[in-house]
Amino acid sequence: MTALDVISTVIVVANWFVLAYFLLLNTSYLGLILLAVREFRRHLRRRPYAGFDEAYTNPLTLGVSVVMPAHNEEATIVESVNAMLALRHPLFEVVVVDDGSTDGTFEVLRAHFGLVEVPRVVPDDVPTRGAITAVHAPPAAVPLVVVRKENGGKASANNTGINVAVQPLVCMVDADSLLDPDALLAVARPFGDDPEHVVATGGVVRAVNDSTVVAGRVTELRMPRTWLARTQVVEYLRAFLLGRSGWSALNALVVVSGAFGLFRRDVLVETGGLDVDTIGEDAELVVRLHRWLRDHRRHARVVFVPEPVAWTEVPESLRVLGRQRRRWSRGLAEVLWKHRRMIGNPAYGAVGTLALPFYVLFELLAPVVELFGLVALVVGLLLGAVDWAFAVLFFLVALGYGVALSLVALVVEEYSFHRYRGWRDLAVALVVAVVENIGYRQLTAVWRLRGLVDALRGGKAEWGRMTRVGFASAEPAGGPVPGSGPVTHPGEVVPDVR
Amino acid sequence: MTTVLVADDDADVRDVVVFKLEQSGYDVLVAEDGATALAMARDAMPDIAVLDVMMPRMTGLDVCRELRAAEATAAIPVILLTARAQESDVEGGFDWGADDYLTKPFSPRELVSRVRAVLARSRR
Amino acid sequence: MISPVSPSVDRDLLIVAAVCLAVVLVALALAVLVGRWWLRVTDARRARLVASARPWLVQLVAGDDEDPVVVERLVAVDPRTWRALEPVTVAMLGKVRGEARTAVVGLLERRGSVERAMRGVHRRSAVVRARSAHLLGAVGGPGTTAQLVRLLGDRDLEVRAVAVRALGRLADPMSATALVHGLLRTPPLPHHLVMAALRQIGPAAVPPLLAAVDRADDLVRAQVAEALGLVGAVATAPVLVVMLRIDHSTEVRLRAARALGRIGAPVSVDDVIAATSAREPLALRVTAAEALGALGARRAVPVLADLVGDPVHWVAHTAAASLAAIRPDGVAALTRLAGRSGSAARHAQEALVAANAKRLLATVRP
Repeated sequence: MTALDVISTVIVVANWFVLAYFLLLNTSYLGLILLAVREFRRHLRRRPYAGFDEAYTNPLTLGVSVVMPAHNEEATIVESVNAMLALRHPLFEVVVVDDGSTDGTFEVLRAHFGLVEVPRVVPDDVPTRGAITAVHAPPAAVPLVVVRKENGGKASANNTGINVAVQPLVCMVDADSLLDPDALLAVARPFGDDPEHVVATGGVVRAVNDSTVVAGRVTELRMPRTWLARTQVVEYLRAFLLGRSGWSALNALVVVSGAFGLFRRDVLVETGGLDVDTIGEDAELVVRLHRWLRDHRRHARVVFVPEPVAWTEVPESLRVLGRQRRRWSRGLAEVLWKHRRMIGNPAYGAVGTLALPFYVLFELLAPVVELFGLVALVVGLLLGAVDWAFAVLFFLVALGYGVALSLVALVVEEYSFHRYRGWRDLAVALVVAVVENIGYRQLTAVWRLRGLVDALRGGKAEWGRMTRVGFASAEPAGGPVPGSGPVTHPGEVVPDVR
Repeated sequence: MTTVLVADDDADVRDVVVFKLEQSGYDVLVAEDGATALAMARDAMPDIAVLDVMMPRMTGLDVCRELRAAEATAAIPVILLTARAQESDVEGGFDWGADDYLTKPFSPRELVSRVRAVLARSRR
Repeated sequence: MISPVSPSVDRDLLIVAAVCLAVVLVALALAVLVGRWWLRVTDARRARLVASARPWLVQLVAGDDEDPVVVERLVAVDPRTWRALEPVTVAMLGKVRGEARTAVVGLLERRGSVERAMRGVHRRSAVVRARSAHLLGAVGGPGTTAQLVRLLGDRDLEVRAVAVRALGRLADPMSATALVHGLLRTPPLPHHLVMAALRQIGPAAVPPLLAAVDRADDLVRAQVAEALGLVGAVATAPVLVVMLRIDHSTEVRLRAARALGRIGAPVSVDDVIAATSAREPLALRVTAAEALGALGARRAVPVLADLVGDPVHWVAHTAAASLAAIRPDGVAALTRLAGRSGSAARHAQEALVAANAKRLLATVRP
């Protein structure tokens, strides 16, 4: 047996392995999509009788503090805040945290809302970085608070927002996300339906590039003009909308987008808020939440709400997209490493046994296997170790199946929410279903791999933009109280009834 | 002829109000959102404005405040339509200088009589 | 130079697989296309049908007196058009009141929608049951309460929720007992909906609620306390005071405190004051401090003034806010505190500014 034979054998085995991997990966996704379809059916059935009008006038509807961290958002901040203030909800406030902006973010807010400085005692319920310099509010009955602080990064800004928030629910949104008018009522709804168990809900995030936006509202939805953004529309649909709905159905939702998530304030305080040192702080928070709840023998749920929607601009240049994916991948790696004890651990329920292993195998390691598979296939063909028939099979399983999944996602969207109405949009979407799997995915694999390498090397390469300031806070005030923390309406929340 | 500006994003409410007011002999201007309503009010100087509170692009409260802020439009009487029967809202409405308010669900007939009453008051 | 372990993929099988995949892909693409086409066609048709009859509906709702011509027109529209128009009509019910509403109800009755809904609550489809319950809640009328109460026990959660909301809308005292029972059984009906419905029903809900105050389940007692506060029956204050005093569950005591604040029962002031003591659980102290503000009793002012100096942020914050609500004594106490130094002063300043903003607004009224 020659050395070449050995190499050939290895290559062949590797190819079969990669093939099996793709089969498993795509089938898991298919399973998630099917679960999501069941969820959507339930959701759509209840939609005509969702009772938003009643929720709007019900005095028991829980109040929400919308926390918007802003760093150098002078151009859009007034419009974003106005759009948030126009959301439909009976009791909410908007807390803007100006995270040491160096542009006119605060000035434009002050000019528009006539802000004046107000005395305010802010508790140290969750740790933050960078001291608060001033708290401002409009003189009139507009439910707005603007907090100025020294720069400390987004997670820390969110934590400051949590401290300032006075409502029992805290909604974290990106300053540049646009919410549908009923979005707040919709994500808050599970808290009312099942107050004993729901601790967090996540909303859908979709891509809004090139759609018509009037005063912070999406009025006409269109497919973006660039192919890169178009591809992300379908990707968000498949991975975020359908994937997360599927996980939610399994009660194993571990990622709530930082662009639109709602949490019980008391639970945030008890778990310590966002981790100011982690890159994927939104994912880390939810994983930690699951861990904390299980460790404290609390039976709780994290729910995904498929509609209405938070809209966000997705990157339109390869450079920005590459940076984003690299960061996501690195964040995921760090979160999984930090909570490695939970992976595969049945003590953490479906999160431990299903979701986290899935994320390790099919999200974190996917770029490694994908790129390795491509290389192995090419080498195998060159060496003649695998023949063209195998190559075809490989493409069928790895890519053809993937295209089918993207199409299934489009079918589901078409028969459920059908937010896009034009024929052109549809034609574009069909082409994208192919492009997403052949080309785009391999491209992101490179970036994701680099993120993984970043994580392995540690250090603060990509994220060093923020200047760090020393800790400004002490331990959370007040110990855990049965069933509720120090919130202003503590009784809205009750302990586990089991 | 007396001109009434009606602004509501709900087509049902809008159409009913418009029909009722026209039937009662008023000239009616219609807007579907707050910003349009404000622009129309500045252009056409209606004799009275009926504004929904929750509208896209600008709430009725904001429109009301803007009307009050400018000298030319400060005297236009405003009736607010609100879905919330909450005290704070109503309070807020008066804070912005509204002359009257109606809660939804509303009675079309009552709306017309309120419009008449507010107009009579403002003309004195 | 094929290696010994080289994958031997059967070519025929491969072709079959490839063809199958191609078929699946084409089928999926077609499904999307057909979906889009169907959606556009049905949307356009529905819009056309609604547009053809809606002006009559608007005229019916806005019309001064029930114009027989308009009613007859609407009663005479063909079934296809009515199917499209019915949801619009039902939605209209929620937007108007008075004779406009009566006219719409009359139309729904004449078109047989109400009768259909009475039958629809027995249908197998959960969607039909929910739709029927929704319509019955909007229309009301003899027999509807009984049908909706029956749906409280429906096997579908969604239908149960719609039934609760519909009963709240009707606010028929006859349904109070059934709704309270909905809180007691497992799995319970969505609490917040039941509470809202009981609040709409009002005093008639008190007897069944009182009958449930000594249930063993903590959560049930907590809900009952909350509901009593929402219904606002002053006569139940002594019961709530007992709950606040001796219940072993913090949750129950906390809700009793809040309910007492909502009701505004002066007899309870001393007990609510006692619940702010540093020995009590934090959440209860905060709630009790809040309730004292709602009660507005002058007797509570010195206690609250002490609490503003409490080391726990939320106790101090809430106490200050409550003081600001008690005029004039509470505001005077806050003003005194604000002149000092330390955290109590800062809490007092914050509360004063917040209260001032509100009061200023009230005086700006032109």
